[in-house]
Amino acid sequence: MCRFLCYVGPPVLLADVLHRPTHSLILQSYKSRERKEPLNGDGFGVGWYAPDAGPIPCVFTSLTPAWSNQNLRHLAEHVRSPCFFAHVRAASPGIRVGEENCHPFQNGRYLWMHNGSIEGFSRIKRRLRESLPDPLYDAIQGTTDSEHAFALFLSFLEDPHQPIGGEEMGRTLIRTVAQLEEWRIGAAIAGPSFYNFAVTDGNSVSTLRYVSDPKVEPISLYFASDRRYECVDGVSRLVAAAVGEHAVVIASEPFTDDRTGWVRVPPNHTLTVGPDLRVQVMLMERSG
Amino acid sequence: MTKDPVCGMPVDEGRTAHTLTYQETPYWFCSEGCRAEFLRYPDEYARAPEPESESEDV
Repeated sequence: MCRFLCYVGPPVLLADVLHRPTHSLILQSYKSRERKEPLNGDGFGVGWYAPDAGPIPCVFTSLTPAWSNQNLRHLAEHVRSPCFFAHVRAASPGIRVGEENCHPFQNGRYLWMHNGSIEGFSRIKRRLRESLPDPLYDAIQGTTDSEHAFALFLSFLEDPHQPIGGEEMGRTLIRTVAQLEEWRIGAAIAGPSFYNFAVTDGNSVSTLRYVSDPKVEPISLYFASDRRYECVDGVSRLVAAAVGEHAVVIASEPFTDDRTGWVRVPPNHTLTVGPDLRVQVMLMERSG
Repeated sequence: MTKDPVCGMPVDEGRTAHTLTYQETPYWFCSEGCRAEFLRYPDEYARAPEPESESEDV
């Protein structure tokens, strides 16, 4: 499994989020705290929006470990963005390690990434692929369950080239997981599956922390909102924000020097951030 | 009505099946997932202020 982060708010230098914090995502690529296996060295990726360049995000992925990639370091020192995704990968057993399998995945204006695994995916893969319209079928470049889930998500949109509001994004994410679960249960796959997905169109972000068996601890996921992110002289933190200054940060593990402001995403809930940076938490199921 | 201490959602004490008592204080939850999360980190959630984010059931 992997580690990821999402940032949305006032434009920030990527290096101030990805490299400088004490427990940065780059450090998590070899020393994550909340995974049994701390190494996430099977490639990485960053996808960011530059509003003055249009709605399509730029994506940089590499098969090298994030901790040793000098191109990422140089790039991160020169790119500011109001919305970006970053991911360090630990490939699931049996899934190819290749650049085409590095997250975030991009299609049109959308970015997608995943921390987790779909149990028994090979047994539902054919059904999923056959459900896709041709353009989404053809767009799949790699072999991961994650990228296939992205294609499924896009197939539920009326027009995958248009932006959608946060509420519709959250609903579509729930529908995607519900469909995957229906196929998993139909194939008598015992599970558990871990669906920590994140998706954005550059305006809204939706993510979830979900495990198919509620008695199993889901993969870690945290968020911080209503605060301003700053990194001054190498010290990163979330501080009280004036109107218009606050950001929303979502991450597999808190990465700031000071953990103030971080909250766990509740298990089996979605978290959606609208264009106004308003955060909404929704239950995905009601058991009992 | 009360609030789920994990996710902050409103919970009807009379209708939810997901409840527990911790240090003589009863808690009610929206789902088994939140109850299990509380049991994993009881001191954190028992002491925590109510989440600030706006919540909504679906």
